[in-house]
Amino acid sequence: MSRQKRQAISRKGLDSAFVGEETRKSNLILEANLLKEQGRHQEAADRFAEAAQIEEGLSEILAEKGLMDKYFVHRFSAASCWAQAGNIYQAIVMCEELLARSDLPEGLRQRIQEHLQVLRARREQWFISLIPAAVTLEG
Amino acid sequence: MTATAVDEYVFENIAEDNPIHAEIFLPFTIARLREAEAVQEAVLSVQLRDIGDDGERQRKLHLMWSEGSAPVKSLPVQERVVTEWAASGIACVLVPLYARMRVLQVAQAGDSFDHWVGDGKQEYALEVSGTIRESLIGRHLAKVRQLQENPYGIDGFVAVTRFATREAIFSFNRYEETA
Repeated sequence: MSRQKRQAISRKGLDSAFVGEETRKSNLILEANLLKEQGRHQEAADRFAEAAQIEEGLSEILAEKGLMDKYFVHRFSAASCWAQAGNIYQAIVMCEELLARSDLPEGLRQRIQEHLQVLRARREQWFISLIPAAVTLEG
Repeated sequence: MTATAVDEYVFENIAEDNPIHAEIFLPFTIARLREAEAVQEAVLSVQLRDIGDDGERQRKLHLMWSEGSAPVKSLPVQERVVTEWAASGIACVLVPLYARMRVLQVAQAGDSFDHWVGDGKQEYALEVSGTIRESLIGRHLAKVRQLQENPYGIDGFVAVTRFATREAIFSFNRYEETA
């Protein structure tokens, strides 16, 4: 590989407890992805919700340690997990909180804005689908 | 002309060589690699690009597995998913064997790649893709571009496998700012 310095995310100072939780979260997402492909949506959502909670906890540890690049990774992952668990409200709140930060890297800001746009569109569709048919016909 | 070096790997070792539950990929990869139910090995041609040293190297990878790891019935997912997950199984061999790293985490849809890999101090992106018969070079190029659009601005690896010919490309790629 080239001797030029590589661009990566630092894991400096992370202990085995953190790594254990990170692995547990990843295994939940792996299982959830497989369950989703098998059409077992409730079981998949359960795992995404559990993974989201773990991601929130991990991101708090990272903020305390000052590992902000990795903090953003886990925070955005938490929002994605909440969305896949069906909790669009929580996913939107977390994306908006990230976007309110002035230290969010520009590339990630753009990606979160795109993600947020999709989530808001889904929420709108959800609201429309909840209106009884008679109301939509008669105004 | 020199003979291509052969590396041996017991497929079940992906469970120990990576912290994530990598053994979940085993039945998918075996389903794509084996030519008959009784077969418990396969040889892949692997092209390494900027892995370990700058430049390209060619390796032969001899994979072996036990009967218990093979799927006993058809896998309950679409064929596309079998191929994707089979390619992830191959990536879980390539990362520890050639890049001396481990697959640490699963990435999210918005990340532009599939996994996070690392050496304990740093984390990089890993994009994985599999195909049965499509062009390996074309797929690899498309995946490198995808990886280079990651929102974190980090370098990363691409592992692409073509199962019909048992070929793989495993490369290290610099992030390229397009803005």
